Amino acid sequence: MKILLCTLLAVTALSAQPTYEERRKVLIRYMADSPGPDPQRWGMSTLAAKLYLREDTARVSTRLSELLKEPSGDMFWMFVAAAVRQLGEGQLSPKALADLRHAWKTYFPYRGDTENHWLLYYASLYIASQNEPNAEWFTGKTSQQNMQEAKDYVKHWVNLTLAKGQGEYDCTHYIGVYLLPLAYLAGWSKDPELKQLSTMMLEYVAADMAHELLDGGIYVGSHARTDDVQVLEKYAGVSSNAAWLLYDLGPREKTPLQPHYMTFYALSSPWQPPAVLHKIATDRSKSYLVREKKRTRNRWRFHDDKHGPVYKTTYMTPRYAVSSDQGGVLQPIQQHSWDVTWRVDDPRGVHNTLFTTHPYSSAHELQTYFTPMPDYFLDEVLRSKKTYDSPDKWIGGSPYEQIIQDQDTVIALYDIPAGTRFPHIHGFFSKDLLQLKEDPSGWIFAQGGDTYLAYFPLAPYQWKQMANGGRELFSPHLKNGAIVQAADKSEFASFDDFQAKIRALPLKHSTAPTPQVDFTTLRGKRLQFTYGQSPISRTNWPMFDSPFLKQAPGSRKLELRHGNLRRVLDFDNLKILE
Amino acid sequence: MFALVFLAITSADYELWACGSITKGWTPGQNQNASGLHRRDAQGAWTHPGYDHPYINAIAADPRDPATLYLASGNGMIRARSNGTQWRIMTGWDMTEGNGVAADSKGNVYLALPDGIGFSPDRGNTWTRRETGLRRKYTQAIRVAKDETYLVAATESGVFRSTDQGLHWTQAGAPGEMTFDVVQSPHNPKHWVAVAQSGNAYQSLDAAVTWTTIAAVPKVHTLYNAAFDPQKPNRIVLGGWQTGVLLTEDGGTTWKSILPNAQVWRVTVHPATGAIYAYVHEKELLHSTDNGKSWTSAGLPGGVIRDLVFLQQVAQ
Repeated sequence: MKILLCTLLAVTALSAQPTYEERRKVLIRYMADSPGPDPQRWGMSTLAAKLYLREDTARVSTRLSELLKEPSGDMFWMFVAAAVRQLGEGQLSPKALADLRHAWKTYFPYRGDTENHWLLYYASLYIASQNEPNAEWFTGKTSQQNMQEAKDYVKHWVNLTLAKGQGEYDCTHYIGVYLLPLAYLAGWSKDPELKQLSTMMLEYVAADMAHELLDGGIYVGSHARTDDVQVLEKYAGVSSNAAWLLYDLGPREKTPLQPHYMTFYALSSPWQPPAVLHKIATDRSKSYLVREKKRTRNRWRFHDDKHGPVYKTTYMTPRYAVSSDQGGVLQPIQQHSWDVTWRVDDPRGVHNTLFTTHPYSSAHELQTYFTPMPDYFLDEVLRSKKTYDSPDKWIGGSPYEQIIQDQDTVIALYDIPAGTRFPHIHGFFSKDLLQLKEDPSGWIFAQGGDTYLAYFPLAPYQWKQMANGGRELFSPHLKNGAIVQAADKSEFASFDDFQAKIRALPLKHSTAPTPQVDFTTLRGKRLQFTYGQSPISRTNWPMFDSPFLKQAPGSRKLELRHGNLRRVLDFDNLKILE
Repeated sequence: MFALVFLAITSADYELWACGSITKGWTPGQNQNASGLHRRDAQGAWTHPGYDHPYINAIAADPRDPATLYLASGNGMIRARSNGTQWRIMTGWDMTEGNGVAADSKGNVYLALPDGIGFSPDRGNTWTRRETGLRRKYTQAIRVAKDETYLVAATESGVFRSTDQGLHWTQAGAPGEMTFDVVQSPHNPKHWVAVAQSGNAYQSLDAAVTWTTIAAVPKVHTLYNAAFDPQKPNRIVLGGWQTGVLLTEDGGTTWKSILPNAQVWRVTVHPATGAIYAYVHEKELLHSTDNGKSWTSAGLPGGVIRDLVFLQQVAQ
């Protein structure tokens, strides 16, 4: 408690606008001090932070030898071990260094089954091998062979991402697991090409996040992966730590929520966002549209192409954001397809979001994206993703959901075959809604922060009280859908005025024979959407298109722009142009 | 006296190798000590050579050097020399999550991958892809025919066959079926059996060129693998989830359930004694010397064993 208090005071004591270096040091100090003075409570992360701070080096060496007796965690052990060796140069005792070399030889980390695992594995292996050019490795390869393989993988991943978009895109948690390995290579690699490539890719991933940060540092939108907590409490992700560290966004007096990944980022990289990126992340003076193209995770089975396209749309405003993908199962288990997220002054503990899902789980989904045998794998998934096979879950895509979006209007339609495991859809209505009213017109009106919300369910529903204080709109009808219109409170004379204007909007809808909607939005756009017949043309969808970021399909150049500021990440020539 | 000596030599010639994970009670983040490769000597004692590793999926011995094992693993293909003790990852970043592996006497190694088939002409030192003709690339198992003139692969879209060392593949059977295993008879090299996720079993009597459903196999749930008895031509076992173990002694005309309702990952037959070994999900390895009338424990409690292979004992 004393340590936590000290850290709190340290953060509070930061200047009104702490510099990147000040924020960076807060994270590192937190990591070094939070377990307390007893070395028996120090983990590898503590050791890394203390080595960075050049503190307690004798005790760090002793503790390292103890911790290396039984390594665990695969690539998550590797990145910590690589940092300890890098930061321990000239500080670790000969015995500790020998024990570390022995661990890299005798512990055999699993390489994992997804891109964040592979990037973490290879970046860590690269840095570890660079520091021990003559060591023996679990791989059975030389240090030079390890480094070449690692570099080849990183180049492959960069090329694939530039061509088809990121696979685990826009993750609230795993954003840290992309920033971290890129920071290692940008900060610690001695290979000029790899260093430059990683620095540019670090900026590319950071830019991807920057233009979808709601005021306050919340990463909005459809996400390849989020989790049961972060999907509701939008602030609770590693992404918020990243937004704080990189852009000083979020509550000033906050202590790190999940400091782990961003602390290692801070340990490794002095890279900080250029001015244009800082502007992009923090300027929410105007509303704007974002379109991005991403790709699915590796689809091992049931598809002819390993990577399917993901078309993402986000409408950013000063006070809320609306974001969606096209629907379907684009990622296993943790996908989040659409929502409205509104800003609040202090987002800690606030469920500032509204969305609907069809909770879906199946062996087919798991076999699409994973290789283990089908009959056991569900059980294995449930050991870490406990809600995957739950009818009450709020994350995961559904093959029976299709979505379109125009600015701040989303229409999600559902056509669920009879016999599907969870034959219902449900909508999340937060405990933090300021108002909630069911209207005889069929619309449900609500207010979150300074955002007015209108939700039109296409089929009958009932309310279920949730343990977290929210309400679940539960609808057991297989042909179903929802229309959501968001708007800024300031556009209307009153909440009643908002409701009247929504009621007046032209709307026709049906669920037979398939769900369909003919709706004219608050912004005057007529949307005619029938399940199976999206009216949105997705050909030539840009890799990035917003007022701040531009990357055309087929291009390997990302342009960052804000006001008169311009910056181009030119991956063809491996140069940054300003 | 002579018979006793003969029996003693033949049963002691073989060791049972297993690979998989010890998963019972495991939660993410915990070490999976003792997962990986396991070796059971003729006296029934298990050792755990090599490293702990959660995803070793298949084992093949090098025909020219049986002390060298090829392991299909989550990290790609691992070559484990000196009876599985000295490991080296032979593949690069571009081959991940190996499902199956096969090797021939010429030094060729084939790796069944979730996105195709890897081929090495030099015992794993260099690799290319050989998957032209596969309808879908997910490949679970791959076998080299005894005469080494053709290959057979179990894939997401059925059984495929290649007569040019994997350069080209053609659909042979079980179209559209996620097939998990394919095995060749040690008695009649033209006789093959394959099993599928649907619970179907298939056989070929013309060297894997054409395949028919084995109609008498009761379709219960996923079938994971098949094994021939190396001593008795008509004796075949199948293992599967909820199916347990199915046994035929008449070449597939009739089948009996000898370990009903069990969740069986892997089944095999001792090459000398004919004892049947079956791994039951997160329970243990069972073996039976009386056609399944009784089963006794053979160890490895609490796991998911993905491959069971009898190999001739190699001197240390």
